[in-house]
Amino acid sequence: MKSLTRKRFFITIVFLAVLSFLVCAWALMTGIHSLSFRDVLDAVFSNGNANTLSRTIIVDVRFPRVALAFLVGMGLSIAGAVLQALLRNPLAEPHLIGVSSGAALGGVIAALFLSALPFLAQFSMPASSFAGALAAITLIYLLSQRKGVLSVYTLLLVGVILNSFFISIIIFIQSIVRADELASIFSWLLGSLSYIKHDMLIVTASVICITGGALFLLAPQFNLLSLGETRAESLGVNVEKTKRIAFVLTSLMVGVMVSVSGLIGFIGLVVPHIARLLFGSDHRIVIPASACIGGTLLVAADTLARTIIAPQEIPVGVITAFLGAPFFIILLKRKEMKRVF
Amino acid sequence: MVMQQYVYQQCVIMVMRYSLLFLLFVFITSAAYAYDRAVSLAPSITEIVYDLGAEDKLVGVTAFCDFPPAAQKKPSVGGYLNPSIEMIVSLHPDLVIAAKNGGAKQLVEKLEDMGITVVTVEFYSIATIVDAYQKIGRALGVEQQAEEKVRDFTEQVNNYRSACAGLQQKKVLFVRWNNPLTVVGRGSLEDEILDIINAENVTERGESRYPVYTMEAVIQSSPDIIIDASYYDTPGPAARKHMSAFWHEWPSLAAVAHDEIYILKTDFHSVPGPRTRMLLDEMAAIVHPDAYESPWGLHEKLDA
Repeated sequence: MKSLTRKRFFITIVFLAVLSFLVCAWALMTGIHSLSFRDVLDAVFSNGNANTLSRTIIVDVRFPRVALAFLVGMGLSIAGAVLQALLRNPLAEPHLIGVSSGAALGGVIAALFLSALPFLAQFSMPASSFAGALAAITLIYLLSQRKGVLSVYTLLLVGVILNSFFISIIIFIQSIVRADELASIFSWLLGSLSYIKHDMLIVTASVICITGGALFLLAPQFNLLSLGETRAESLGVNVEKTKRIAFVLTSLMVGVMVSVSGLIGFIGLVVPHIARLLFGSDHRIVIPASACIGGTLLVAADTLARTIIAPQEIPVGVITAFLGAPFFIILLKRKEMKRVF
Repeated sequence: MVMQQYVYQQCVIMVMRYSLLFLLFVFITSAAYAYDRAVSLAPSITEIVYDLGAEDKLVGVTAFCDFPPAAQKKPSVGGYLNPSIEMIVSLHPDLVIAAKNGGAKQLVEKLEDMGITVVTVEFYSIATIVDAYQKIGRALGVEQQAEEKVRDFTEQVNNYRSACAGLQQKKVLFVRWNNPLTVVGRGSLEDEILDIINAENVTERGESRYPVYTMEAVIQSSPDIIIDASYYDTPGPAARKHMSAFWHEWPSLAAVAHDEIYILKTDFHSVPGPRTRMLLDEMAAIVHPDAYESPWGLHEKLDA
């Protein structure tokens, strides 16, 4: 693989940005009502002559959904790329390390105990699933310390075990309470992008962009870290500090994503590999390329999920796996995968 | 002077009278304001709207709203748990009626956020069904019809309650699904019906309305009668054979030994609403066969 030059970086990013833009525009135009690009522009820039129905559909229904799909796809892929580098494990993905199920547990608890509060009801679920994610991070972080050093292997193991532990608590709660009170939480857990409101969208966008940007700035350190911790240390990386910052940022991002969209699998695992296969394993390109590919893939998948058997919807995770798996296998077969790790 | 004052007073009184009348008029019209483009997000809701004769105000239903059959001709907004918001919006509804137990909390919040009026109803007891009738009747401007339906329903419930009180109490197990064995627990609609017809629900008190049960607990509770509603529609020959084989593995159960296992036909028992009255008739006929006969013929003994 050729080394990353400034020129190649910009060409790749511009190409992916154009691709993302085109897919998002297609997603905004597609649905039960097919709208033209002109309708989309009229609605977005709220020209007086815009038809009210197409405006409502674009501004209140499709735009939040497409934007959320892009953000979540982006976040999951960045988190996957970072965790794969950090844990030096090609199977690492955001939901594996227990943060997602911690967030889910927080959400379940909120639905059970906090939904009665009149004022907090609206924000109780996102807020407490975020709190659940933070609690899970702290727990994993503390349990993975060994003599003041954060051991990536212990972290992986602790994450997997806490993941099962949180899920078992969720299932325990499910079997002892009235099913219908939790019905909404379980449909949320399955992963859905349809019910986002503008206010939550803004929060999600800020968190994902800030944490994603910060992780991108750490890319040179990830490159050195993938050579092994001792070598990275000898090359001047503050390994402990990098690991900690990257881990907390990733968890923050995952917590927010789970609280707004539930558990959407597959993207976080496969997209970083796709990016590496296409553009090489330099994290300075893997992270932004993963972000664009992940966002584009989730937007495309969600658009298909809501249109194939419209007005009924297919769970978006089904489509991501259905599209992503063959694509990944073709890439893998075509380029003999060099040992990335 | 006095005369002028008198005229003035009369004027004031007149103005006050008319403004009062006007206010009253505004109040009445706003109270009676009925929505006329409603979308139903649950089969139970669709059935109630049809039962109230307000179906011309219904512009959208879910893909699962198949009763009465005419409801299938209405535009579908998608599934029960995840309807398409885009489809709902494009029907220009002035009202969406959603079931709280449909898991629709986030959906309701999203619709309200978009400025659509949402009425939520529940269906886990007689009282909540009555409440749903009244809320829907009020919203669609058919309160009179709703009150009549509620009166008939309540009367039927009261009649069964008083008439069954003198009959012999039997222990009943109501099975909702047999793999895993899911039974009707306390606080559910079926549990309330059992109570109305003076039958004892053998299920123990617990938090869940439809708990998963072990066979051991079934044997220990020794029901006299088992109602097996495992199939949401009329079970076919293969399904009946399967159900029969399932129960006859436990010949020590009194209900099995005495051939007291019943199945329900069609899907009327799975949608609380207008057809809950039929469920009441059917269950009374199963539990007290000497006192009641079912006018609908929707239950059958499961043969060995």
